[in-house]
Amino acid sequence: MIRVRFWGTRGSIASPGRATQRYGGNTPCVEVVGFQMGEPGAAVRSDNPHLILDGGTGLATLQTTLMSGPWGRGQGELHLLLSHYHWDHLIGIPFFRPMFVKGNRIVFYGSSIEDLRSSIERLFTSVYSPLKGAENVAADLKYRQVEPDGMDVAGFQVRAAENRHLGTALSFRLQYGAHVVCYTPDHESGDREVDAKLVALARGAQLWILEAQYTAEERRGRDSWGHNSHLQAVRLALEAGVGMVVLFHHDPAHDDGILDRMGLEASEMAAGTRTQVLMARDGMVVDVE
Amino acid sequence: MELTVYGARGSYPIARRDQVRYGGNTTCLHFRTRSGQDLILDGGTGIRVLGNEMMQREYAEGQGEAYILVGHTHWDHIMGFPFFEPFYREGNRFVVVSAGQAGVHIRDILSGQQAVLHFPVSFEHLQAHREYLQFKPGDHLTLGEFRLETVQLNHPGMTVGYRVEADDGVVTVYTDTARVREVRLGDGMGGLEPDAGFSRGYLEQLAHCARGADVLVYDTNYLEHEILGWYHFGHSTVEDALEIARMAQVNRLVLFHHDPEHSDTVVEEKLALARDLSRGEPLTVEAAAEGWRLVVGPDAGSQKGAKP
Repeated sequence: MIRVRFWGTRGSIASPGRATQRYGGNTPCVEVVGFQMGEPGAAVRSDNPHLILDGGTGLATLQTTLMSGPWGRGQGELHLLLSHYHWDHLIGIPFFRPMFVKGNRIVFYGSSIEDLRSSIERLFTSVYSPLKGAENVAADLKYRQVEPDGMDVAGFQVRAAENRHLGTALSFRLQYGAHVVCYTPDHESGDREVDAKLVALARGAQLWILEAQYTAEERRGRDSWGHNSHLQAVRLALEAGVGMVVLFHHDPAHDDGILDRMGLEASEMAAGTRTQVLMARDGMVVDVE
Repeated sequence: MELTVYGARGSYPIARRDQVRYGGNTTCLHFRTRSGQDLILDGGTGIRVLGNEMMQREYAEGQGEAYILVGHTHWDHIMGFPFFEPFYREGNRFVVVSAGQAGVHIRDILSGQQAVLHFPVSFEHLQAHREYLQFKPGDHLTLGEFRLETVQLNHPGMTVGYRVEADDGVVTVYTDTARVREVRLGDGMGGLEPDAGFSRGYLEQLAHCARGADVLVYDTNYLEHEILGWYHFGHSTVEDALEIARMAQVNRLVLFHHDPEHSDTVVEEKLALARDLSRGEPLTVEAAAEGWRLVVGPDAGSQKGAKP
């Protein structure tokens, strides 16, 4: 099975506070772990397939767990897939404690080595960071380019496709045994060709984590802002026929009440189909088995 | 004048249910004079919330004017700027006041944050009018009704503490500063190794810039047992803050830059400790919480800042 843990589910910028406390306000970070049958419940061992999708502020809540394991002793290896280089998907990285332990190895994956490297380096430059340069990060940092047609990452078979967003943003399809999880942050439906590619990527997935930042009313005035409404997201999920769609990348202006309402509308739209709809929350765990 | 806290967290924003009392947004303070002049200190994630409130006022019509002080340009102090709505309205006018960082002008630092690879709207394309005032720590500045004194803080790179005076009220803010007896971190402070002469002079400068202040806002990121081994991260404890509060004879100390790992309970322990250590002294101690507004100076009268 694959265990998916949502550490950050908010888009654009972290939005902590009373009004968002049920869904959470940390920006995108999703942890994915593969388990053999009968294994779940155990702590993540170093030989479990294990990767992280995006490095938003959710990384900060994930790090506590990691630091109590091999990453705290400088014996950890972490694979971090970055969908794109907007800050909400990166801004947890300069504060991520496993980076400050010598011996740890962190492998970043992105659409281009050059953009990947310059993004990570910019996070640590002296104007923005007290570390005064990525060369002062204790962990060993590696950069890899995503191979869209298939590559092995930490025990997962990974494929990728390009979203419709500002600049290059990727969706990832992760397979472990018979189980498939698809991840699409930051996508604006409407380009038939792009939508068809994403639907093809997600087809057969048990779980699609899919961007749904706006309400239908908000979406109407925001062509080319690069995001879906919740209803557009459900439409894509129904087309792909996935088992479950988790709506994700919530707008920072949306309080818990608005997200409740969006969840209801999205579920109504999928009623009577084989696709289950769930609103992402920080801390939520979904087991794909 | 009024002082309102929009972000009191340090290092990075965090959304945890056990932190909603003090809040998870990073540094942002708002000052407002009796006549309605606005001054913002720092653009951490708290500035998004402040900006939304300002858009309920003249800023929505493109008729707002404010000064923006940047204490320093590490992520937690600037990452909210791209989401500051009044920047997106033509007619609004801002003066951004900063000492820069690593020889780079504040305009280029904010513009770099909105490079096309990282944010969809470039800083150059923001509709509001922006001008810049660059200064050196130690300079005195007059910004409308606000009179400022500045002092360099003990933190990696260039970090500035501010004394803000208006309407006969005084607030001094030291957002990020390390224990100088253990380490020297700032640009031009002469190397990491502590130096007794330097320490004395530095503490006197901090005390001078806070002399007799109505309110001293101070970096108390750590508890005493946590700071050991982390001096070089550039933050202080309650004990350090109390030392300056006493030297400067301030009336009110506000604990600030809460560690993102600290729950509300830990912040309250920190506050209880500070009150315990200053028992019997003419000093009120509070911990900064998001949404907390206090009236400073003679206007305060019998009004006390109330926690939401």
